This record gives sequence, structure tokens and C-alpha cells, in this order.
Amino acid sequence: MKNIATYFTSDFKHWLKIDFFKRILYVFLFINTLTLLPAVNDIFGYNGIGGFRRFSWSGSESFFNLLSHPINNNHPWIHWVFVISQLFFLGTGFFRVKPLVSSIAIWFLTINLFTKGGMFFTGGEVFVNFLLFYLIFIQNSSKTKSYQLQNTLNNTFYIILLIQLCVLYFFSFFWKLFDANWTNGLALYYVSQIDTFSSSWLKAVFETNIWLSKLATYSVLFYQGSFAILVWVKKIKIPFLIVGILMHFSISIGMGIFAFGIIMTISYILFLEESHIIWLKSKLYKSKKVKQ
Amino acid sequence: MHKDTKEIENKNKKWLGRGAFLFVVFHFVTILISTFPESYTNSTAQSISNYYVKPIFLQSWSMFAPCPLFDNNLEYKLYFDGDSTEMIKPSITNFKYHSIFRFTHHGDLAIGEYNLLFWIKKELDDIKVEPNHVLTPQEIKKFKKTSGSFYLKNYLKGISLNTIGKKADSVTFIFNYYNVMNGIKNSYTLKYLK
Repeated sequence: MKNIATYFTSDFKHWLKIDFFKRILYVFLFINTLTLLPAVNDIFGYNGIGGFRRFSWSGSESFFNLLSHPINNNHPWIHWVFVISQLFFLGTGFFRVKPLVSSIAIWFLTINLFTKGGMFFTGGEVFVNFLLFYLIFIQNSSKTKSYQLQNTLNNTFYIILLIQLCVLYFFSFFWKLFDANWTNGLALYYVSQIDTFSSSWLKAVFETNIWLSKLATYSVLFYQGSFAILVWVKKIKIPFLIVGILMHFSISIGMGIFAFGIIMTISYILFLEESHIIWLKSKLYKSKKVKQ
Repeated sequence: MHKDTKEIENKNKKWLGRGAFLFVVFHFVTILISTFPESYTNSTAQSISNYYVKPIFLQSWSMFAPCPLFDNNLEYKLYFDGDSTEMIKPSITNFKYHSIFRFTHHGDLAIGEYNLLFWIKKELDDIKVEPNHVLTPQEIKKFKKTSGSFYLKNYLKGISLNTIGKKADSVTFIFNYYNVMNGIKNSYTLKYLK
């Protein structure tokens, strides 16, 4: 207990990683919102094809469901305010301007948008809501007056971020065990035959190679079921995460659930070592000198 | 004096660390209790946990479980001012672009349509509507009480405004479902008045 308690109050060692992760996530969300612009009225509008959810002022949930408030019916510009404000704060967050205010605003605006457009989205967007909420509490402790408290918050929410990803994979595996199509290995074959979640080449490949779809189905089950354990084993962590990236890229491109695959891949940054972050940054900035 | 201050600081630090650890344990224990099916936990524990978990930390992660088995699409025809549109199949445009550009909004629209049809099918099954016929007024009356109908009404309003710039007088919907496991094709036709 004493050692564990010391971990939470020790100096936060992952700032470089969290800062990098936050900025990559913000860039992704910015681009994602830009790609949604042609369908903003349909997805986020009160009178769009997604319609509205039932609204009542009851508890904190109402504050995430503001775009379904009946006032939006006669004010068809309100969802645009949310979209433009989200883009604005993603910009300020990326450039580290008022980071605390930016992270609160990004979370609040994003959760409202994703709640409103829930019918069009996947678990990836739900996961982003969690990530953004936890990230509010991780701030640069050297810039705050209450260094010790911020430091503890940083360590606490950093570990929460990591465990949250493990919880996601665990339950994703757990629920699949109740479905015979997952346990008999045919799930991905069936999914590949559904236009919404497939592509012509994936359909053709799985149709003619049932063994391949079985292999893919069991690989997904194994990966999701073992993630919460294997990701902590230093020796195999990187190859294991690379397998995960390949799996999520297949989901993005093959199944066409683009945002989900990218979000999951970005979240792997949280499990990297500082040396990996420096290497990634040097690749991204194309410079040997990395700003620390 | 200096030593005393340091001692107090260390003591506070220790308590802060313990508090943080207990918070992490509490956070995930409540999430686990709330997320596991009721048969795995205890309904009292679940309802207590939900006070903390809902709404911010509510999660299920039952992604693709159970495995989706229906390849579905919808068609609609809007009637307005004595005129009508053609039979429109929105998925044609969405899939046309989504099959080439995976990152555009067409993918989200395709998922939206899929989810809408999923809920409609679930509700039609629940109220025991047989496929391959035009829904009777009694069946429509029952269907109108479901959340599937609520989503459909919203969808209708959206497509009417998009297509003809106002609410339609009536609409004919055809919901097509192809079961990829047994190869059975079913459809439901629904004629809705404003």
C-alpha cells in the first residue's frame, strides 16, 4: 500500500507522452469533424435525419444532451455553434493555449455532439468521450501552484486511461463469448457479407476462404481477451501493439469503420515508452532535434 | 520547525497517495459492477454503482456482439401536394462513395441507416409483425408506440426537409433485410400518413 501510494504522489513521468497523445487525438478529432461538415445538419441538427433524443432536465445527463433540447427546433444554427466551437477549442488545445479551459470545452462540446449523433457512430466515439474527460485532469504540473495535487491527479488519471482501454477490450471479448457465431469462428465471415461493414474485396476473400475468416475471428477473440494482460509484458508489448494496429487498420479500411480503427490506434500511444514517443515525434516533425 | 513542516508534508503526501489509489479502485470496481450482466453481479450493488457510473462512465463495449446478421437497406417515396418523388434508396449514394473514400461522412450515414433499420426490425419482431406484406393499420398503431417508430419519424422529417424542403404529406417505406446466415430475404412495407 505504501509503495502504491508513493507511485501516485511521485513526479509525473509521462508528460511528454500525454502531451503528444492529446495533440494527436485533437488533430484526429479536428479532421474527423471536418469530414463530417457536409452532413452536419443531418447528423447533429434537431431536424436532421438523426432527429433528436428525448430530452428532460433530469440530472447531469441533460447537459450532454443539449442538442436535443426543443429550443433547437426553432434555432437550426445551434449545432453549428457546437461544431465551430469544438474546432476552435481543438485548435487552442493543440497549440496549448489555456490548456485546462480548452480540454474542458473540447470534452463538453464533443460529448454533446457525439450524444446527438449517436445513431451514426460506434464505440470509438464513446471511447473518445472517456479519453477527453480523463485528459481534463492531466495538466502540466510545473505550471500549477498546487504542484503536489496536480502531480497526484496526473498519475491517477494516467493509470485510469490505461486501465480504461483494458476494460474496453475485456468487455468486448466477454460479450462475444455469449454469441455462437463468435465461438464457432464464423462471425467475421457473416460481418464481411454485410455491405455497411465490408468492402468488395473483403467480401470476396472471406467468401472463398472460410478458414481465413475463422482465423481472423479467433485472432480477434484472442487479442481482445489477452490485451489486459499482455500489454503490460514489456518484452512483447510492441509486437503485440503492432498486431493491434494491423487489426484496427483492417477495421478502418476493410470494414469501413474508419474513425473507430484510428481512435483505437491513437490510444496505443498511451502504452508506449518515452523513447518511442521521441522516435515518433522525430519522424513526424522530420527533425532529429525533438522539442521536449 | 522546518523538520515538523516536512513531516506534515510527507504525511499529507502519504494520505493523498492512498486516497488516489482508493479512488482508482473505487472507480473501476463500480464500472465493472455496472457493466457486467446482472446475473454476474448483484442488482443492489449494480444500482448503487450506477449512482456513480451514470451517466459519464456508463459503458458496455458489446461491439459486434451479438454478430450482426442482416444486410439491410431502406427505400422511401414521399408524397406532397398531389405529387411524389421517385422511390429513393439512400444507401446507393452512401455506398458509392464509402466504398472508395473510407474516411468521409458517407460511412457515418451508412452506419446511421443500418442502426435505424436494426431498431425497426427489433421493434417489428417484438410486436410480432410478419414480413413481406404492407403493415395493417393495427400493426402501424402498435409500431407507433415503439422507439423504432420514434427514430423513423425523426428520419422521415429529416429526409423530407432534405428532399422536398418541407414535411411530406405521406410516405411509403420499404425496409429490406437479407439474413446473411440463412440467405432469407424479407421486407416490410409501411405507409405512413403525416
